Amino acid sequence: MESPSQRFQRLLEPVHDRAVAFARGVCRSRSDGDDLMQEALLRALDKLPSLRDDGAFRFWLYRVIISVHRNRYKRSFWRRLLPLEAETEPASPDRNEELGGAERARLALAELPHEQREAIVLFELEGWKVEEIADLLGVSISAVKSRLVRGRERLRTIYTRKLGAPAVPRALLPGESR
Amino acid sequence: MNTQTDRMITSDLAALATDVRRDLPPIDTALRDTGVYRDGLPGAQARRDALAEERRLQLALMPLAIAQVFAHRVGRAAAGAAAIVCSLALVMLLADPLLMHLVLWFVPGLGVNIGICMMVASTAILVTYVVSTWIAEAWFTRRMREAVATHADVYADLDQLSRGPIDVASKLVKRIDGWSIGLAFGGAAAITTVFGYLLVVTATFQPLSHILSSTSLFAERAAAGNLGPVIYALGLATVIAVVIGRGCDREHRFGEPTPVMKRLSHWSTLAAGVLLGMGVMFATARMATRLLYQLPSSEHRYLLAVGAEGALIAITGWAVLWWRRREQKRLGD
Repeated sequence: MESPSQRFQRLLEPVHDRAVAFARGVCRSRSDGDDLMQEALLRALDKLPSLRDDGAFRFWLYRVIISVHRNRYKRSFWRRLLPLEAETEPASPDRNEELGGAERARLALAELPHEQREAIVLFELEGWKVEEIADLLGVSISAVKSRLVRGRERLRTIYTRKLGAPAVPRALLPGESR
Repeated sequence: MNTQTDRMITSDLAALATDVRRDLPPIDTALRDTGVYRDGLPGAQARRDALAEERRLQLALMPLAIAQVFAHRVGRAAAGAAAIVCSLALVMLLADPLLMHLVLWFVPGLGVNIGICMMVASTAILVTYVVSTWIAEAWFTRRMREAVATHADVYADLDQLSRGPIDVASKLVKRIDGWSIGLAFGGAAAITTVFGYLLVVTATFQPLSHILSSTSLFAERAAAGNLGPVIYALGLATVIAVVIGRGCDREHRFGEPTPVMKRLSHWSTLAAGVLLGMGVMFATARMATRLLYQLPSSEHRYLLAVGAEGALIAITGWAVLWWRRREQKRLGD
């Protein structure tokens, strides 16, 4: 007879890597993402008996990650109020050239509301379809589309105002050669 | 500019998508950090082994009284059943002359009298008691060994070991309690009723010195003609035995003795039983000496039978419940 741990291991194996990537995508840093994933795995293991259909494990795990992430997001208010360590410095146009593309995207995504960030990470980084995202987040397709459009607009604003998008060297842009 | 920014965003998101997939932690590490392996097979085996060790220690330190009481209860139940069977066999022998002929045919030369019947019945009851006690001890030992044994299925072992040997033993002792008390009472009441009846009938027709050795008991058919009160008395004893047995079970289930059990185990019941028994014995002796070769009236006989059975039930019931209280003290209940 399969124990809950064995069942969890079996279900997690095919989706683990993508789930870790998603957790890293919605967090400010890779280490935060790894922490989020660990916390989500703990909760998922605890709640596994409530999952009846093994086929729905992928969606279920992503929902757990999102739920844990939103709780952390709420807690971060207190972290902002009583910071225990220096937060990541906001990027300045001068630092723009020092930042890699991934880091820049991470900083910009961190500025988005979590609904928009989750939608963009799932759509742009994970390659999910809009219908799948709507199903996962429990919202309508138009709501997901709206979040994607607004998120993209906001990213554009952040890039322009905070990350100095025009100052980005042309060589860094795709399709441009040095 | 917007196009440029959009291209930059798209490019950065693609870089981030690549970045988040770099150096992914292996699933084993993630699971180990989650503590999932604590419930895995090695963890379960370790827990099973530790629990089995603890249960073995409990078994080693388990009071011997539990095993002894269990064996004695089984023995008593079996002996009670044997006594009931002997009583019924005697009643059938009295009721059916053909059966008596068959017995005499199988055992030629043996004159059937009360002494022989008593000897056969007591030997059968004693042998049943001893053999069943041995069997119960062996079975109990095997059951306890099984309670702490481990098998290939670790999770089944954990389930099994969650109940310690003392729990298992206590449950066994409690489960047999009702049967033990009910059958012991029924057996004692039945065998005493039948032999008491035979003694009274024989004493009515024979001198006291010949009671045990007289072989005319079955031949004269005097005992067979008055079996009615005996059969009713046996029926009454059976009903009371069932009530007492169920009372013991209910006490284990609800933790409170039933009113019948309370009444029966009170000392006044014993006193009333002894007084009633003495009265019935006196009346029976008077009847037997005054009415030689003349049967008393039917009402008289039934009244005596009811009185005798009442006294017997009171004394035997009190005795078996007193014995039970003594055992419960040994068990620490």
